[in-house]
Amino acid sequence: MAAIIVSNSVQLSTPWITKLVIDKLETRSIQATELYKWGAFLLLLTALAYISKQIWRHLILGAARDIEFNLRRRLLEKTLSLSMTTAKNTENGKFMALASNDIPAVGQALAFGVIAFFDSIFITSVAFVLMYELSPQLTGYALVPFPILAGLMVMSLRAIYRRYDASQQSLEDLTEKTRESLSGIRTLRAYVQSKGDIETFDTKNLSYRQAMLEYVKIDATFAPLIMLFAGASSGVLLYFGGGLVIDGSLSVGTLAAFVGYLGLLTWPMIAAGWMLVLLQRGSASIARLDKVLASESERSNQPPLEAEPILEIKNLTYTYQDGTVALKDISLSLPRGRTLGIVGPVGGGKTTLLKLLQRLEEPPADSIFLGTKDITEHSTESVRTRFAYVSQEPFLFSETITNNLLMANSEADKSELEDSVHLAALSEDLHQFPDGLDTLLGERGISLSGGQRQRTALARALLKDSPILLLDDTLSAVDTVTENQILGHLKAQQKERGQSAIIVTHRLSAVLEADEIIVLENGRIADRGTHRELLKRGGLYRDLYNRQAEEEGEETLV
Amino acid sequence: MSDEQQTPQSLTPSKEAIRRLLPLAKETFSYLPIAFVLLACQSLVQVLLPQVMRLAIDGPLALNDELQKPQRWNELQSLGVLFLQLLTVAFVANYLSTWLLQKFGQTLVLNLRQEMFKKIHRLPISYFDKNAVGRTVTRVVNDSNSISELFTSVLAAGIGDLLMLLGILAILLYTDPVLSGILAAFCPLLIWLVVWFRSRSAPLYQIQRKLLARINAYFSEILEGLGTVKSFGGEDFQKKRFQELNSEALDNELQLITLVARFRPGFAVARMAASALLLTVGGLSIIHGNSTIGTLVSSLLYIRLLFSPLEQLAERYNILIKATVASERVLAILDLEEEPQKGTPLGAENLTIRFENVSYHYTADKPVLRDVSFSVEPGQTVALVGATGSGKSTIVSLLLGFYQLQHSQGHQGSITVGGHPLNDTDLTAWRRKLAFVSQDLFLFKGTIAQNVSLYEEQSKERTELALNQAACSDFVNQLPQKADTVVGEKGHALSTGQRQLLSFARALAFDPELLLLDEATANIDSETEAKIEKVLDVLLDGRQAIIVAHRLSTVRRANKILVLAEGRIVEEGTHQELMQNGGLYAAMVKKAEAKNPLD
Repeated sequence: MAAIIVSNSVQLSTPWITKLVIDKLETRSIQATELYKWGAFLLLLTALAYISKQIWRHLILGAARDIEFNLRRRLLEKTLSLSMTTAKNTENGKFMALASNDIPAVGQALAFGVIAFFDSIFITSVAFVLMYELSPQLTGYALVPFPILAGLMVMSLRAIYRRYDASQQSLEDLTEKTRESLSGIRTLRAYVQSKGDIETFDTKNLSYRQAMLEYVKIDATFAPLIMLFAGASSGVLLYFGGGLVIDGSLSVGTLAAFVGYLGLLTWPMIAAGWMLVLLQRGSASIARLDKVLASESERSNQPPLEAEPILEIKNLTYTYQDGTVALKDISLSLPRGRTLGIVGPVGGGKTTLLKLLQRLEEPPADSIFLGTKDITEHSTESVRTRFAYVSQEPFLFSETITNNLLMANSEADKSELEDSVHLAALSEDLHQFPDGLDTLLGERGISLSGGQRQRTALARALLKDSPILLLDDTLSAVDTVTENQILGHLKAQQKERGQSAIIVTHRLSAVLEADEIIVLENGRIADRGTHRELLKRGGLYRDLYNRQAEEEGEETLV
Repeated sequence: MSDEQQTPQSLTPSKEAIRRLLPLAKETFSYLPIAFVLLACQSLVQVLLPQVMRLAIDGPLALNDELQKPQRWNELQSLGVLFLQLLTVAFVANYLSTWLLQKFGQTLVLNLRQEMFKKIHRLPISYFDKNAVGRTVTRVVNDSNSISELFTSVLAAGIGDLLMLLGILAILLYTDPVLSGILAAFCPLLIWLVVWFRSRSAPLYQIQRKLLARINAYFSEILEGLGTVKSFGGEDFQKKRFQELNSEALDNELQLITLVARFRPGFAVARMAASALLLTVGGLSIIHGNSTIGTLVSSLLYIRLLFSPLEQLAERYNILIKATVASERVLAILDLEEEPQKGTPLGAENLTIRFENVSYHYTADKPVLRDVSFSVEPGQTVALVGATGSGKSTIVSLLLGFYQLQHSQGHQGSITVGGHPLNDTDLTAWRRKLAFVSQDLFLFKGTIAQNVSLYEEQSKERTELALNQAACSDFVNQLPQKADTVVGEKGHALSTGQRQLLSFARALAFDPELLLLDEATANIDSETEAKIEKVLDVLLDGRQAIIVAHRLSTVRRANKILVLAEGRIVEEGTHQELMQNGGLYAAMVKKAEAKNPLD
């Protein structure tokens, strides 16, 4: 603050000195030595201004960047805390646009907005006082154009906000379209659909330009308008001030000082205009950020769960948002160390059930219990630590394999990493990768085959060392030999650690030895029992089994 | 990561870059001369305004008793009117030139983006294997925006300012050579400041852009993998990972700020110093009767005019660097080697596919295919069987033209279709003859029907028929809007089996001559499995097909089975033949059967 005052005071003193000198020049009452003195004095002030200005710019701009930094962090935290339903309904391009456009827009608004704000207020008010001191009458004349300018600016602000928001919206669409095309490029290529895709892109591209031009139409008036009014005020000054000079009630030096002050006022005026634009843009961005930041998060204030990892499901019924019943009246229990198999047709609700257990989708209250405690009443994190989940189509990050694994347990040491890799039968593959565990995956690294992805994901789950393992058709892309090997590993580990497991599968071979198998069909438990019991009883399970047996003896040849 | 480290050759867009980018705004070229005339107009007015001041101060306002008051008033009045007229001209010129240049810039970017998007559709698939989606999106969307600013802010303002500078120097030289000398003396200092700032800030601005692209890519990925993060409680781990990236960005910003904080006030100070000097020297020459007060006042005004564009230099320079980096990256994409576009179009001739001694690798030290030879006749179904990584998918990708055999890269052998080398064949025409069903279906945001027909104009009947043939009707009819239900990334979720069937519907709707099927692995229940079997009957009927097979039932349909191991074809024949041979295939089948004995 002090720095701003110093630097601006120095600037403001220049016209005053100018006035003194010119008045003396006009009447030829000045000597060369006095001129030198004034010159030297001005130079001294200059040095002072430099230092103070550097300090305050640094402080303010730095603060703005800090805010940007924090906003980005908050956006990430928000992203991480989104409920899966919200996340599913949010387009990916939106977050990218927020991170890359909106947050910098807010930062800019703050950085320049704040500078402009202080500058404008300080310079304007002090200049005003000084001008008033010099000549109250002339000050009145000179300032006439300003209220008109201010009025015009305020009037256009709504439009600026609206049009900027529209352009950003349009940019978001364009970003999302580009992202989708890039993700689906192989399909588009194989089906020779480039032309249609390009046309779709063109439409969005064109409407973005349209939105931008609408915005520019208003934005482009700002600078010229300010120039016009600043100029007009000089004109007014020249005319009326000139008149006063002619009348002899004003010195030419004062007139010159006024011209100087108006010049100083131009920058704050431009700055104020700019600031208003930036703040409008910034607040459009903030509104968009807010929309995301305010979107539904998972509940985070629940107490952590402390309970035995004994799973109990009682009369669970779950309905999707669109009204489809996903699960109906499911009851089951899974004591420690046991294995539950779930089989059944596609769309039967198997995956949904696994997601509900982890509160990746929110189950109804009083239906899922861990050691008699309702999981919906305990924090999601603590519920999720009880389960290690491998999904059907596992997601791996474009990171090293190590980092992908460590996500499950960042404290794991090297030997634990290697253990889990071994258990998931991934060791041999690792030897083939360029950097072993440090091989980079994904778009910047190597791409894994389906089976390798599944086994990497399995290794990740095993590293987590949770009491209940959830395998969602995890080994579907793994060849039978390896599958057997892995199942053997798992069994041994389950015994050793007292882990329980829920295995969802289409290959009955994976659940033959499960303690209980349930057959899920259309969201209901159609049948349940051990392999033998189910087989004896007939029905869907035996149909499945027979079909698999007769089809190929074993469906996978890989 | 290699692109993180590269630094551009120069700090301003190369002539070549400008030469290549400018033509993109062809339809608005006519705006440029008009905009420049307007800019010149505006600059001239700005130079003239202080002169009006000078005339007033030295004329009607001067301390001399020769002129009568009314006469002074008259002169003042006409000067005042002149002043306002000039202002109005400047306003109109200013607005129009800004508008024209913006439109020019936006048009350029519109076309640039279109070019890039088209280019993306022509890039070889290997590009997409290596480059994160988020990063390429930044290139197409954000980088191109920076380039538009180059033309609107930097170029326009630069030309305007340059014209003004010349005008001011000319007029000063005319009215007071001494004062113009003083101003000229400041030039070396200013140039030094600019050069200093330039050399220090350039690398920082480049890093800024790169970090932005990485942050973008990060957000793109985190949302995709959100479920995984959550189920592993990996939130803190991810926060830490992002924190590193974010801090890097902040550090860089702070370094930039320090630099700007030194640079900008430097100019303000130079301006004040110039004013001080001008006041002293100008005052002296007034004392000696060599100059007038009007000249001094107008010179002081000129200082402001001269310096204000210089003070904005940092911002402009920022834009310039952004645009330079952006244009280099954009051009780098536009310069990438494309998939071969031209080639002999395939006629109606038979499409016998022949691999002859094909050896292929992605990276030189790891052969994927070794000396592979086989052929597929029209109407024939060939199954590829083998462990993960044995090269099955590569064969399909090569046939799709996603990758090319390049002898210069050490690949060997040849792939021909109907006797034509695939490398010389018009890929578009070739792909139109085939349908590719990948392991997992990519859904575009759109309706089910749109996902079947893609952008192809197909009759509704044809789409419905395809859905019907692919046994999709059952589940489609249960959806809220049937075939018009929106699916895709954020649309209605489909199960794996449903996606499988839908991908068959897509293939059927395109009625291909050749089917390339990368069979989904065993994610599917027997119910759907049975449906798939039936659909395959239709799909394979009379069609040439190559199937990366995972199911015995599929393999049995094949006229020929190729068993691959470590990139080699180790066995070839029908199911019966191979079983009789008692080789690897027979062993695989036996092992599979033993594991799940038939009751």
